[in-house]
Amino acid sequence: MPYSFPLGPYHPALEEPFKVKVQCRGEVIDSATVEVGFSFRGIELLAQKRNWVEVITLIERVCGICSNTHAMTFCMAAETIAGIEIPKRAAHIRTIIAELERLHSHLLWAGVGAEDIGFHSLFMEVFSLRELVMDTLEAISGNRVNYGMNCIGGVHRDIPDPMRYLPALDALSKGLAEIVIPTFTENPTALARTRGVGRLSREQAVEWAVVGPVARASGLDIDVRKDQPYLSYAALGFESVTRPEGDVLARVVVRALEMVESIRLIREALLSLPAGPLRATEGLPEIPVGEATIRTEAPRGEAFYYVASEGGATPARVKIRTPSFVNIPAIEAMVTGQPLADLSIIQASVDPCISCTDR
Amino acid sequence: MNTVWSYLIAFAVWPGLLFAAPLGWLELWFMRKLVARLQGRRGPPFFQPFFDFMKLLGKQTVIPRGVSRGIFLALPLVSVGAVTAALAIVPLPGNPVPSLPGDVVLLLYLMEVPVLCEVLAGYVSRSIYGQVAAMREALLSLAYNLPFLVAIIAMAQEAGSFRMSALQAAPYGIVHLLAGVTFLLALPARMKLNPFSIANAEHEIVADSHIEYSGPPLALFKLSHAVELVLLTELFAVVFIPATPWPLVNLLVYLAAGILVLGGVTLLATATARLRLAQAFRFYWVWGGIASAVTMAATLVR
Amino acid sequence: MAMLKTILGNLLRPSRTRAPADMPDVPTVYRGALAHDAARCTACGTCAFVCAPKAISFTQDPGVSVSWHFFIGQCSFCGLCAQNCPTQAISLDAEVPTGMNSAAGDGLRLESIVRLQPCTRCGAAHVPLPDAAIAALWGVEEAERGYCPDCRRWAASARLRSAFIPAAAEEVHHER
Repeated sequence: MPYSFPLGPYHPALEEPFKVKVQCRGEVIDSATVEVGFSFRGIELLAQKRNWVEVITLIERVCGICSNTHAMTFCMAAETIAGIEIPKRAAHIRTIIAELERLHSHLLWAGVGAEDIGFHSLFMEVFSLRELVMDTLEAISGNRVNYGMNCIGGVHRDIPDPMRYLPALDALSKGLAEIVIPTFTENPTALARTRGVGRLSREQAVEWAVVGPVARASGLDIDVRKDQPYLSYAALGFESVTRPEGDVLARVVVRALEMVESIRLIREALLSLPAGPLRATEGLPEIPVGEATIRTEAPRGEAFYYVASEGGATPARVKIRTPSFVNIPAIEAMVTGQPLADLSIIQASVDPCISCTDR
Repeated sequence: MNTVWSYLIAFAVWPGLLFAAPLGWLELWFMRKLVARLQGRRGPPFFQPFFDFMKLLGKQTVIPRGVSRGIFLALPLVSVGAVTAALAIVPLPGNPVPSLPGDVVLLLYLMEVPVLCEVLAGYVSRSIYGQVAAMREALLSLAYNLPFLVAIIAMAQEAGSFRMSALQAAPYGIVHLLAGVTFLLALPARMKLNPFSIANAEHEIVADSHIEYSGPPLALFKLSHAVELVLLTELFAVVFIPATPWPLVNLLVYLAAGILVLGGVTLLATATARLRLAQAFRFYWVWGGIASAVTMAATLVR
Repeated sequence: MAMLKTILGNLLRPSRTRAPADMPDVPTVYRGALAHDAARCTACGTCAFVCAPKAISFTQDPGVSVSWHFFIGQCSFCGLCAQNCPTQAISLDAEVPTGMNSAAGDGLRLESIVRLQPCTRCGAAHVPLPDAAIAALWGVEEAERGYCPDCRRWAASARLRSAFIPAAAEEVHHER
């Protein structure tokens, strides 16, 4: 007897409100529909009513996890319009914060993923590792989320003593190598829940136009950091991680190896932090008439910003396309034909960020 | 008259509710504390399961619209009654109830009642989550009952009697060991612990089959679960641990064995993820089946 | 079995849960309680301009004072006010802010009054510049210290004029 089973909008498996409504036959999912729009805030419109400084604070609140990515991408767009080149030190600091944020996001995801397969102990371990990243971010920026590091033309805050953060990175890579990665890839019960589950083939990945770790786990080697290096990625030598399998396990592995790569990038950026000013401009920014599109690699994939200026006190248009916005529809392709028990881990495996999607 | 009184005492006092409830809470606390320590947390204070029970008693009972009030409220009562009656049959030292021929069969039937009650509770709740949980619970009981029943029946075969006291007094042998392992195999699923906790997977179906229960009826279900823990661990101890001639020593050994079994099961639960229904089912029919076959073969070979 | 090793290790280690008394260290750059120094404020309005949630506002009592207002319920602790303040009158201290807001709107409200001073030349009420800024711009002993913005502009143009037309310098002195 077919029945429909709602996951969401308020459900223990979700951190944020969205809805996957599935039609089931026994324990097998026949079809699924995804609904979003439960936390719409109209940030794109609000951005047109705030001046160029206020709008950074606003844009930073598009997402609670990848907040820095949004503020940074917006600032990069404004800098492109105004023709500002940010100092080397500022680019390094932005890279460090962006990669720390990726660690924070991926660790949060690993914890939620562990929780979704009923692995509470792994959740505890992952979240205690995540605390190291949060402490580092707080020590640098003064806040655990919404770091407020970016301004048009550079960064607000310096990293005066880069060596201070290396022990936390060592502890983090030790925890990843000894606990998180072996448990996800070797524990038989964890493997039973992730291997071969929620498969998205390379062709499907192209068809649904997924980005970020979801695309890379399906064998698509797309990463803005590699394809169109920005900030200090070219100087630091970034290498992307891909897996061909396209299942939940592949997404776990891609994120885990990306964390290892992020730790390497942060370490190198801290060690090679160039001297120099933090900002290219003084005072409040003045953005001339113009428009710019900027792509950056957010933790969940490619973030796209279009910013237009008419030379006034406020942006004329801010268009935000977040990675989750394109990844979430692919859940429909992933869950069809899968057991109902895997619905929560499959929807979690694309790391849906609903605040981003709804904006 | 005397027999009636002894049954009443066995049901209400020892080894029934008055002792089993605190013992169940103690065991629940032990499991929660152990899980917390294994995960590097502090864990709840000693009286926490009791506090939970008292708090639930003071809460409002909400009965979903369209649900039969009688059956909704009767299910937890039947569950507690059955599991306590089952415990009253277990020949723990000092149990006033005499062992009757065929009480093993009665025990096995009574032990199925709480599972049935949970399945029914899920189905009558009119909640899709509760119904999925009930379906999983029912299917899982088909799986874990294979090794569970075989372990007890093999012991009955070994002892040559369906009398609990005979099972307890059976001379120790290889069958004890094999049947004990088979019994332990079924234990995590019976206790609804990881990796076989798919029926109460809060991340998919929000809660277990009592999702629509609240207040005192939920407290009774929780109490039933606590008494069931005592029943399962003490049943294991009584049947598979060799008895000494001294009742007090027996009692201490049984309690220690119960805690030890819970510790092992908790350790397993903490180190694993939750298996899917089909995977749990396959595990029990393959590994539980093999263990059952070996156990039965051992009883027949002798 | 990495997980088994980890959880057995946890059993031997003390708990990671921290008690309320065992607070983690607050980093020195922590963006906490907001403080405003009226003596350094020039009421230029930059903080209100950059404050996205509009937690900062100004009110005027014409001729007497300018009041700087802050409501914690709207503050997002982004720190832009402190970053952009030209005279460093606002600071976010590494202390946990007190009086967080509830639904009743009873959060901390700060008011800091910047007294207007009469101009030493024309008498018009104006916001005095902070001493450090004056010392940097005009030196310690300069007569222009107490001037209002209009009179400072006048004085500047007068200096220019006397530099170009030395004779005009006489007139300036007479006028005074």
